[in-house]
Amino acid sequence: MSSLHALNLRQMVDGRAVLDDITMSVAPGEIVGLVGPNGAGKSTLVRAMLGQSRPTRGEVRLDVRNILSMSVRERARHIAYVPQRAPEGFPVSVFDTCLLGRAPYMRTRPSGHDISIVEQVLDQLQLTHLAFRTMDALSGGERQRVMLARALAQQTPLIVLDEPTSALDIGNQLFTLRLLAEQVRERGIGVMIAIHDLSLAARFATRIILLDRGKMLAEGAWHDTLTAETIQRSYGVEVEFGQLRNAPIIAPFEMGEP
Amino acid sequence: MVSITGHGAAVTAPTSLYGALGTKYLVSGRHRAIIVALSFALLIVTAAAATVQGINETSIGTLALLLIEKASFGQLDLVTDDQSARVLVYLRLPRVVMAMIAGAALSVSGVLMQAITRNPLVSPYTIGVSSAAGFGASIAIMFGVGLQSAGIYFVPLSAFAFALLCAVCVFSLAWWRGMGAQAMILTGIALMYLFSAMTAAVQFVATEEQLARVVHWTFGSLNGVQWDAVGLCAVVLMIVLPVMQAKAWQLNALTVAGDDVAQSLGMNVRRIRGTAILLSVVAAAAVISFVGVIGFVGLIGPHLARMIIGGDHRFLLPFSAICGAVMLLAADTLGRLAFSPTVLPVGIVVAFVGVPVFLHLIVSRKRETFA
Repeated sequence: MSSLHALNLRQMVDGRAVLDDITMSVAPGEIVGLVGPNGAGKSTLVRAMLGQSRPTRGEVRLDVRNILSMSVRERARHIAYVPQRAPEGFPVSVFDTCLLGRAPYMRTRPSGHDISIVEQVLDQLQLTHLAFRTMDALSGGERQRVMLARALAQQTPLIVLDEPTSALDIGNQLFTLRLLAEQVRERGIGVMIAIHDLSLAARFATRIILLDRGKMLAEGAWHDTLTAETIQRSYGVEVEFGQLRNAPIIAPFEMGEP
Repeated sequence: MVSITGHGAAVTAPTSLYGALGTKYLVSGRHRAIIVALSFALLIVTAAAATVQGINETSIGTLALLLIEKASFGQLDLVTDDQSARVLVYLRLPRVVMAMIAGAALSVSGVLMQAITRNPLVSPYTIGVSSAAGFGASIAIMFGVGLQSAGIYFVPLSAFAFALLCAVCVFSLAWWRGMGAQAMILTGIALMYLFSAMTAAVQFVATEEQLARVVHWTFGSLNGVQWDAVGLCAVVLMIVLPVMQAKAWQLNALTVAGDDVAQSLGMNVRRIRGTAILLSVVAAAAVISFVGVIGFVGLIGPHLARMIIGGDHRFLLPFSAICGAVMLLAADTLGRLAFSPTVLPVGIVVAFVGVPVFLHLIVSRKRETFA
């Protein structure tokens, strides 16, 4: 198992610090929920953690090595990535799309081992009946589920997700997050997930990082980080907390709303 | 046995590593490979049939003997009818072979451009390469009269240079400003208008004879194709196709998952993109330089192929080449025979036949991959 560390990360874009003084880590067996208002730097941090951008200062380490010193193929065997949405419009089958997850291990053609892994991932994500449909014929929720399947087929110790649930209906949101939680519990992988829904973040993440204007405003268990005070400071809204069937509910209100 | 989660997901398959789904996947791949092979065989048969048709009737037997004779490097002398042999070697064969190579190259070029821009509207035509080549050819026809030293290659070279120039403009602008496919297409269309306008301006000052050549060129035609042009285009295609075929998985990742995911899968996205752009532009420009503006094949060849065989580039690349080849060969043969002895320019026939077929395919399209 591997862990991912950001050390004193700073990212300048057009003379402005989009990320500043970020020190955090993703360890095996945890789900780190990355929250914060639009433009807080969540996607920039995700890219940096994937080794897809070069930080202005500081570094990202996979275990003890600087992630930028590793080859892309080696990185691909350690970290899988799920974007917010998959492009549409090209008729590649679901099975072929999932096989892409085996690309970091393949030479020119998939082995029987690769095919059996895809079979199992499709089964796990209840996609077997769609295996030979093409990506352009799927709904947004189904496509997103395929992207998750593709990432799981990569069999990496770490998965980084950039707002994977924001285009999904509530059923698919829960399905996606529960599945990730199962993966973490059973395989001991580490997950970092940028997410907008604070209630879902509180419910599924083992640790929360609240970003505000490129800085870490709070880090820790959800009830320590997502307080009325921190949320008001970062999002500019008031919140009320509740609990239903053990699930935390964070309801936002505009300032002064009755 | 492989287990991803360990919560009973591990299915024990007694005979092989994978189960029914995996078997079905492999079978569907085999089916698609068979389709590619069969359509290639069909292409060759069509080509042979097209070669012997024309004003001077020849027979399949003569063609077969001629090919055997050529294959033996002059060791055998089988064809007795010299007239037929000359017609085949200098008129029919280069024309037919060029039709196939040009169609294949344009179609493959379209597939590549569409893959890297993730946009099915992109083609050598829509990014302006074709009309840039047209302009290059017309100024060469206009001003190249006194330049005998450049020889017969002057027109294609000028066309090729302008095609490259246009591609460099479009792609470097896109890369420099970080523009998406849409902005690229708009830039391409703008340049297309510019080059068309400049070609029209050139036509104003052209003499009667030059005008005829320019117009003929902008229609796209396979009249008078020489073996050296065929050879050059064949070499380009023989480089482009295998190089990109080896990157088929990467192209799949780019089209279906996007740049960031492709990179997270260990792929060098910049290199794939650079290679695909370079090869697609060179392939299209080389062909257009010799046969003129046959834009449509680069757009509809890829679509036709994708509708039949799906978007998996392992099959799409060779199959789109075959589709493009069949399309151009059929159009040229039709143009040759329909109003014989008048030969219709292939570009016109492609549009007349291709557009209705294309519209029909779009309307009646089923959203299921071939399995």
